[in-house]
Amino acid sequence: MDIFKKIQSKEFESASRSFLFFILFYLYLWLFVDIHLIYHGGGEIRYFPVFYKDWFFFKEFLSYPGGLVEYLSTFISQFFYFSWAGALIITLQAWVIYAFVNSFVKIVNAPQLRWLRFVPPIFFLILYSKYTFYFITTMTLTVALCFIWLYIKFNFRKESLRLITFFILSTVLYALVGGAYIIFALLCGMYELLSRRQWQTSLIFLLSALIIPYFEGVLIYRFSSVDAFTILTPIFWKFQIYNKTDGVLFVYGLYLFLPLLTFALIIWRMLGVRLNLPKFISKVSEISFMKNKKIRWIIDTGFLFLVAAAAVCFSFDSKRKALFSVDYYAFNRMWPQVLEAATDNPNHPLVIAAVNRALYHLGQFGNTSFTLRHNPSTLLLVGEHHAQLYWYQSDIFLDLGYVNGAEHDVAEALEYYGERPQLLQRMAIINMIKGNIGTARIYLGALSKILFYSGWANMYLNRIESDPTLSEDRQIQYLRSLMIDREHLLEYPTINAILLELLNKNRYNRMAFEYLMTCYIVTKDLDSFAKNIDRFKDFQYPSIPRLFEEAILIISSSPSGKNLMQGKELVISGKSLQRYNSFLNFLSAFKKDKNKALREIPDDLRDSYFFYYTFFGNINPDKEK
Amino acid sequence: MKKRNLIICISLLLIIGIGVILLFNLGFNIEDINQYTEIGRSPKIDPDYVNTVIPPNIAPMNFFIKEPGTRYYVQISSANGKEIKISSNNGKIIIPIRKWKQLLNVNRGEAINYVVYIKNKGEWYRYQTFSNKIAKEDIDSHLVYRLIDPMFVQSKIMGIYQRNVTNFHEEAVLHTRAMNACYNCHSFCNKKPDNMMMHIRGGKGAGTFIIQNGSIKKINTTTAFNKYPGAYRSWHPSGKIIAFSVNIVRQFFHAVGYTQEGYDKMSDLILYKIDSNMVTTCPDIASPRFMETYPEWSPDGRYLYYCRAKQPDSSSSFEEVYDKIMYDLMRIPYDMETDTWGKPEVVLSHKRTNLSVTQPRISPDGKYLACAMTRWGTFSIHRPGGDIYLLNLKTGELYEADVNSDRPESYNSWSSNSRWLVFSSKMRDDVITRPYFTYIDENGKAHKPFILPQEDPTFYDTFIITYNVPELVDGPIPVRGQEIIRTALAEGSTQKAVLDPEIDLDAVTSATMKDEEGGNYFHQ
Repeated sequence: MDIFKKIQSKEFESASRSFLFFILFYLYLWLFVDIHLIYHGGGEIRYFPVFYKDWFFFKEFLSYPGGLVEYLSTFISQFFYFSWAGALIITLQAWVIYAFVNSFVKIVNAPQLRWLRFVPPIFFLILYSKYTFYFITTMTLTVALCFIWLYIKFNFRKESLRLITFFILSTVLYALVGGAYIIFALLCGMYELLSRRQWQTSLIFLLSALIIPYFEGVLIYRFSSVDAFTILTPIFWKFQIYNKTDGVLFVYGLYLFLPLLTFALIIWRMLGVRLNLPKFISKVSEISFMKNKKIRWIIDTGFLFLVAAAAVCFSFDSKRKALFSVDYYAFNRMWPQVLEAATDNPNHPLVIAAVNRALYHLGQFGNTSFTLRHNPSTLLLVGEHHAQLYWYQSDIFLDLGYVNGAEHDVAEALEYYGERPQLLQRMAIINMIKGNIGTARIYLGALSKILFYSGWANMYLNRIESDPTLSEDRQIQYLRSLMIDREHLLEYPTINAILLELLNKNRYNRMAFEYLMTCYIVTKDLDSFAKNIDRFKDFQYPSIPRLFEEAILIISSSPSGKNLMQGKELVISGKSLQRYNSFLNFLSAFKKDKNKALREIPDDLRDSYFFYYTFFGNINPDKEK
Repeated sequence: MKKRNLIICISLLLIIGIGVILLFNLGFNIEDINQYTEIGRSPKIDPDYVNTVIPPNIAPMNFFIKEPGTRYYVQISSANGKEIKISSNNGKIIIPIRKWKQLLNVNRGEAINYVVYIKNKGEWYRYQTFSNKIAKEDIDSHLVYRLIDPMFVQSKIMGIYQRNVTNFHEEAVLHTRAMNACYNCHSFCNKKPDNMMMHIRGGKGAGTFIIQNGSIKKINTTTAFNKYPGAYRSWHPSGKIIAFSVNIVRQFFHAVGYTQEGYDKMSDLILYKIDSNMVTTCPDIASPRFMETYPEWSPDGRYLYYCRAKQPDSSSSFEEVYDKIMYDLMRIPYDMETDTWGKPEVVLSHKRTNLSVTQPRISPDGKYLACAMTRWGTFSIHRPGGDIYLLNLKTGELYEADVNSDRPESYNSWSSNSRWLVFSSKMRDDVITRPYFTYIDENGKAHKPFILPQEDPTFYDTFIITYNVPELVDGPIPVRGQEIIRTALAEGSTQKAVLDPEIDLDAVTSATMKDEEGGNYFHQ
């Protein structure tokens, strides 16, 4: 009977709706957003916090207001490494704010506004659908709200006791969260006004929003006044610089939601307006079937989910997810997954570069026309010197064995992205390749203090101990064998010059060879291509990659090309010959009308180098520099 | 009743806690070692604090014993005072600061000996005793440096820190956390912290900051002569003038070996007169034919030392010339009273040494000049072969200080008593710079260097940040970073320096320099 009553009760209706909402909220973040992509950063998220298991690291956080919560948030955010754990953390955080709003509107006697408790969780959904990272600033807000709850729960009747409690909590809270303290002071002040009509206390609390940050932030922690008031809030310079996304509007929303709501309540009460549900909702609830609790539950819940789904649909950034996924898979050398993830954002230069790497590693580089569709500068990302490129370029350079280039990139990336473990890992590898074991040891030492990377770091630290030259490490030895030893300055060489230099060092550097030949065919520099044809013998190709075969056929068909090709023993597959003949036959049918030929060319020939060579203009990769 | 129980419980817990702490302190520091096997060598320790000369006021030189074992026991003793006994389970030897200070203080000029016992596989082993010498002379109490990422171009996170070298207290004077900008070139007059200058680059707060007796001035040192503000600097001992170099610095990268490299495209010297807020120069230190940089006043203020290289031919490409830019050490007489310059003279020619001279620093007693010498240019920290040299200013004898490794050594700074020199070195690894100290005895001999002691002896094994521009100073900086930031951001706080009306712009470089491409200050 009791259970039945419970089921019937409004509370249960509400709790079950919330439970369902948060279950779906969690599943969405875990399985769809895939929170570990945010941890990885995708070359987009700057200064995702790194956490060292280290006293010195902890000490740094004690030196400024908000440091302790930043330290805690930094630790917790490491669990974004696992999508399931990251989703759980965000769900809990959203639930805490939800629960606070829920009880706050009840406490200030505005239960009609309980439906607003879902607004903050929906903001969270939007933030993470956009693949942004504002965890630290949302965490400071969460802690500030918990302190408001504490203040309300103390509920002292004596004003003096309330003042003492407020100032103790204020002092502690400012040290814990920094600028988010202002939310605490504002809400406590407005709460005093709303629930007790204590103007004087309220005014003191509101004034403390100015006094405490100045006193603690400026005078004790020695911060500039701007920073003392803004530290770790969304308008703090660090977030303004590092997290430039439109998602920040929703963080502002989270911060301002309760103060604005409370302020509106005060105004309403002052004006003597009775707080009612919007008229249309009242009217809807009067409809007969709406009086059935089950139907009403379904409709209310459906409406909530509809709003949440709409928010997610409008905010979900599939291209950004593709970019993050491609980067994650490329970093973990999961090449088939790179190709699959790239389909949602195929024209992004960083995705193109990753796809090229994936094609190379899958042995498909010269067999697909993917690269022909893009500028050859995307092969090595040598275009504009934008810090974001360094994140991706370092891996390409490392694969090629252009180690100093990779080192320079990682150093730049460390500046831009902060001490991300992925970057420290690369730095350790680079120094091991270069034989700078002392330096490698330091990066490995740093990594050994980072959660989830210590295993890898300790493995290498042990390896260095037993084999200081790493002579047994095949990967390191291989990359050492590729590393160039003839000096030049990194700013000056062209793409072709870099690749040729790598081939001069190690003629078996297949990646350098395929990238070089691709550069030649994309730029239609078939003379240079022909000059390097002998290099095919250095690689054990079961058959020459298709695009290269097609380029050879084009060279062979011209009188000058025939001379170049004389004496080269290359076996061209019958399939390529057949395609070439088909292409020539097709072209001869449209001899006078190239445009018509372009429109009507069959799909299977569109994919060929013949098509590219005949219909597209010249590109000079080095002009792109 | 309940309250009483609670009090009893808390009291019991407290007593147990205190007991445990006492047991740990007593039990862990006394080992009963009756039997042991002698090992005929010293133990391997890190940092390498063996056979060196140490200041009597230095912080405990904690170290890590790099020998296998399950238990470690160290006895530290000297001629006078009480022996220090330390036990450890993990090889980290953390020396109690109070006992260390007492021991050092009563043993100035004496040796300090370390006896190490290690228990391995149930057996105790005693290693050969190693020693250090305690100097008679103190080291200046504070080291001011910048912490910055290695191999930087445009660093975003950095800070100027001061570390009390007599203990482990480190404090951020300015950090990008407090204001986002680039902080650099902190410098002190006569090693006193109350006369300080530094630059802030970038953003609203940019300027040169001169801090004298608690007051902070923000100066814009650019004039019609120098489009770029002063960079490298040296205080005149009078505290009334600061010599600056004005540089156009470029950074580039190598495909082989050390990656990072920098060079001056152009440079000149200027003097900034603090009282009159005036920038002046003379054709001999701002010549169009030469690049002048790294000014350094002699302690009597009568000479300005500096480095000078021929200005490369503008028609030659940078790639052709960068490794041929060789700096000589120069000096020029200056009379502050009459504001007159003498004729410049070569103190140390690169032709004599085949090395480029950079970062000259003169000991406060005026006897020695320490400098870094390198194969070319001024950025000795970016390539192996950058070493510290000492020049006896009385005899003209130049010799390599016994502190160099096969890795780069660079920036240096003397203590106010001229007995200690701190310098930057990558001797621990190839990328990350650390501060090292060496004792320079009365004969100018540099003794084995030691790294800045840290509370955690394994600190440097994982710390990936570079120590940049270490400056010894006799006390803590008296102003707070907050005050500097407040001045930096205050509207109308900048004093624009005026150019000496007697400067003939046609006779000096910077009139052309101002037409150069946009500035590129990387963190020197």
